[in-house]
Amino acid sequence: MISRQLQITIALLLIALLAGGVYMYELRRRDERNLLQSADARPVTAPVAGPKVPVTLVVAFDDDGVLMRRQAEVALPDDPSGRAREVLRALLAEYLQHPAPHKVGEGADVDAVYLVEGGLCVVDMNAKFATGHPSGVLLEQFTVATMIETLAVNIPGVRRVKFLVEGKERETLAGHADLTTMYDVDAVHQIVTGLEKH
Amino acid sequence: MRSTDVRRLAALAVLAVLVAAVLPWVTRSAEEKRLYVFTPAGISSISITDQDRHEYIALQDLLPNLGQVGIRRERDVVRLRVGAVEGEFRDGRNRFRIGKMQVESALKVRIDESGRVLVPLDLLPEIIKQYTGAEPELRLASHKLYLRGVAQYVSIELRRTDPSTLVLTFPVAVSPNITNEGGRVRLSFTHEPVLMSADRIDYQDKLIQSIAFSEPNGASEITVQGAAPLLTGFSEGGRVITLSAAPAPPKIAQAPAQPPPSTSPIAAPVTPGRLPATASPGLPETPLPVHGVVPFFVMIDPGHGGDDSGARFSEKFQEKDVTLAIARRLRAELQDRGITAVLLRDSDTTLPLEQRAEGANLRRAGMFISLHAGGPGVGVRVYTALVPPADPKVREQAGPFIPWQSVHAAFLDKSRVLGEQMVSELAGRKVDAQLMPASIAPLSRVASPAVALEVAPPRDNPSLDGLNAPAYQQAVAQAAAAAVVGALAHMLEEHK
Repeated sequence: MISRQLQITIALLLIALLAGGVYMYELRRRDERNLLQSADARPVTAPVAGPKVPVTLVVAFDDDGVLMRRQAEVALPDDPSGRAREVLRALLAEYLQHPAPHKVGEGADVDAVYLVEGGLCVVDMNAKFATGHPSGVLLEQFTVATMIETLAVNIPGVRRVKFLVEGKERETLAGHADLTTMYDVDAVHQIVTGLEKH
Repeated sequence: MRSTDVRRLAALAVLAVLVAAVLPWVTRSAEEKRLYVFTPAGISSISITDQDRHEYIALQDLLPNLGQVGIRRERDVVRLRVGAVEGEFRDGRNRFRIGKMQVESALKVRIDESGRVLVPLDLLPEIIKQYTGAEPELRLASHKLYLRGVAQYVSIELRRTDPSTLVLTFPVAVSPNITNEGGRVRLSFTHEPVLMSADRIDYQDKLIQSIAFSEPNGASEITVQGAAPLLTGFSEGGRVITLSAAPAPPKIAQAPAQPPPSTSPIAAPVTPGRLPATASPGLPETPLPVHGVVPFFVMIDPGHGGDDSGARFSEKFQEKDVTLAIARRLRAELQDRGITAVLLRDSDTTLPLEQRAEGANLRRAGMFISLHAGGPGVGVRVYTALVPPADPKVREQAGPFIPWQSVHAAFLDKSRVLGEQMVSELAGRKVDAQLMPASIAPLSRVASPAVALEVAPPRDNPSLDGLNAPAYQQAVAQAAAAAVVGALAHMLEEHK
């Protein structure tokens, strides 16, 4: 017969073993998640296909609080939606450098761009664009305004821009910039002009 | 080993598995618990902490919903005053005093290191009653607290016509999200404090079978089960919801006589100076004059709060704390100038953006100032709303309504006047300032002149210390208060 003390000891050991197992499992899952996140945070790259053409990027400089235009060579596909996506990716690549003139969420990327009749451009961003974005009115305004102005400069006919995150409407970018609204390109251009340094 | 021992060991092992499986879930759910507080100004939520396997909340988080709060701490005693009534709380005691009344508690009151008074959740009705004289309604199971009689009980009447109709009458207009799945209609109230006196009523009826009430995740939900598809109709300005039999679908060969009415998401009337009619749950159905008989007051919106910390400057220094500190200073500065000011939140509570606009609009604020803090750069950035121009096509279809997001368009000129006054007053106090438009929530939904301030550190001390310096925050508050006075004078002059 097993003594009562031994039974309790075995039970406690079993509980400790199982609790330890659950804890280890959680740790492993966390590690896997972190690993995936760091892998996804690699800077975006331009597509290999398509000729490289000069594009104008409107880039934010946080330290000086200004916007400036920069020329870049980007390989662009033929379809307008694809071109819009790659132009935005080129802008994000500027922001994903270390150090960067302006920061966005690590691993931020453009999932898709839809050019709709009537000048509407729907930009669908990935989750990291929003979840990792630094919080602040001006910081978020810089991101939104430079993306819209860069689109407007390089893709003729874009009149309004709507941002989605993972295919869904999101209330704000990181607590400030309103993403429920449909941005008017002309109105944003006025803001950009006011912040631009030539 | 005997078979009874094996059975015992097996039972213990099963128990251990269950404990190990449930433990992480229990821990996680404890972290997520919040108390939803419904007041006439809107909904906020307060963190619930577990102490000795019982649910507690910090009184400092709750009391601002009752009135102006004063706090004094002397060693192990914390005195919390609401208006003229003072409560005295000691750590580890089963009794405490509010006003002249001693309150007994089966559980001990706790005072944590930062002086927060933690009280058991089930004591809240007694505490609030002693402070205010009015007993609130506490729903322990769903973690909901209704203050100042805001709970809206629905009255239910089954009219046994052929076929029957179910009539739900609410004390005020409601605007639920409606889901229709065959014969089941679900009315979900995310903002309104709707309650039903019974959890479920079953009917012996050919069409309406039952009505049930539940409270998932802080919302209220009424589910009506019908034997056939049901049609939901609103009347009496949104106070009455009628559920009746849906008409039979037309035969395929027959074209409908009339096209179906367009369902537009727009919600606010075009007329300048009017509030949205049914834009959001809780708003009155009929348009309200913005500057009617309501005395002028400034609504101050300290950005973020509760779960939403805003920008994190350091481990302990967050945007939500800076905005609240400046907001309190601004309120005092305005009151010194004879102007009433109300804070949308006066504690660390979560307040959704839509609720902030609704809170200002419902109370018919004369001006709205939203406060934010953080870099880059130095000084104060003053923002007016970047309101999207209404699409002419949408406008044509909408008739007398405009999109909810363009509510502020009619107030944009006055907002610019307020913004210019802000920049001028800040510059006069040697604080760097610039004015620009920004699409920042919730400015575009506010039906009054409105600006947002983003306070960055001062030029002479561009650090977190500089941002947190009382003298700097006071200078910003003084400039903002002076700007309100200036803008008000300008607007009155124009009005003449």
